[in-house]
Amino acid sequence: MMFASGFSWFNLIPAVDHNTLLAPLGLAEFNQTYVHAWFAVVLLVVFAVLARMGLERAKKRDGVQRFFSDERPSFLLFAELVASFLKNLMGDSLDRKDVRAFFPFIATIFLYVLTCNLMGLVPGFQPPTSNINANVGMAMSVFVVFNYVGLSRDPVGYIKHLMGPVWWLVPLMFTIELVSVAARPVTLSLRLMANMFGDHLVFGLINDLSLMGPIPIPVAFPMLLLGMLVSTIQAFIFALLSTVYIQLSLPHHDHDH
Amino acid sequence: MKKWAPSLAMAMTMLAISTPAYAEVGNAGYVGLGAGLAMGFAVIGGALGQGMAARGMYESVSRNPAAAGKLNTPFFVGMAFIESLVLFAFAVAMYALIFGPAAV
Repeated sequence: MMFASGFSWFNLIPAVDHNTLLAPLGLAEFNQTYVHAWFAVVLLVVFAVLARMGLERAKKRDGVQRFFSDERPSFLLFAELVASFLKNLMGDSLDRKDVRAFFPFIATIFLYVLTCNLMGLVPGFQPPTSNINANVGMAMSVFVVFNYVGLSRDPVGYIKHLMGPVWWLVPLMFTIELVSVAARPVTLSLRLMANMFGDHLVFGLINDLSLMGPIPIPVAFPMLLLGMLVSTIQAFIFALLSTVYIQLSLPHHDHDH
Repeated sequence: MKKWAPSLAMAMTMLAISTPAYAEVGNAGYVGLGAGLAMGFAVIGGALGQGMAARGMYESVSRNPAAAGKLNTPFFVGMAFIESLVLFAFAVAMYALIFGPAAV
């Protein structure tokens, strides 16, 4: 329930969270969050392979590649839904060349955060995004990407954009803009961590509350619904904010502050 | 209103005088007080902000029901931003509670 303690199905593997097996080899234990994150990666790779196999099967069946060509639910249809949703989301902020350039990055972030968040609702797992380290990794990569894009396309324009409209406000504006740019990875990671940690904690507490009587009644069912809503919304917000930060660091044509 | 003013002053004086008697216990209780106050104040501001966002949404949809589909996404995005500010205070409170008074 608290950060990385508590039971999960991965505790049954001797090397996870127990230091006794690997200590003679000089290796440390595997952290629970690390193993859960790798499990999310395995799930995503399996999903990608199944979607690709569905795509090849649909191409062989139709002879030409069409979108949304399956009638029944399949992995290919879900992948196409997610891809079209993300393409529309990015198309509101970026232009077509940049959408094509940044789509793998934003889609990876969205799918990984979604898988990690939804994993916390399954009994016996904890969301790896409830640990600050998993989120800081993603937020720092977003920070590196949008700074690198801004500095590589137009370095002078990027720095001048941070300085504000008039020349006599430069010390104040530069400080404020620098602090707000530096606060972006902090708020990105902290928002996701606080949401997932709070949801998982409250769900555990309400479950403990239901165990106090003679008959355990599953009163925590509405928390599962809220957890599904919050997980999806937070994944969407992470991807949306990454797109908006990339758009803000690219040279945009209308400079009206 | 003036009848209970002397007894109120007496009670407050007794509370203020009795505080040094617990000086050797340490800061362990104040962490809980701080965490509770932080969450309480954060939830006040957050609930008011989310209520204003919801009011804007309901007024807009009641004026123009055809705009409900387009307003759906920005509504949830705005609510999540406001809620994340409350959860920053929650993260500070949980950090204080878990790591104890020595780490705050």
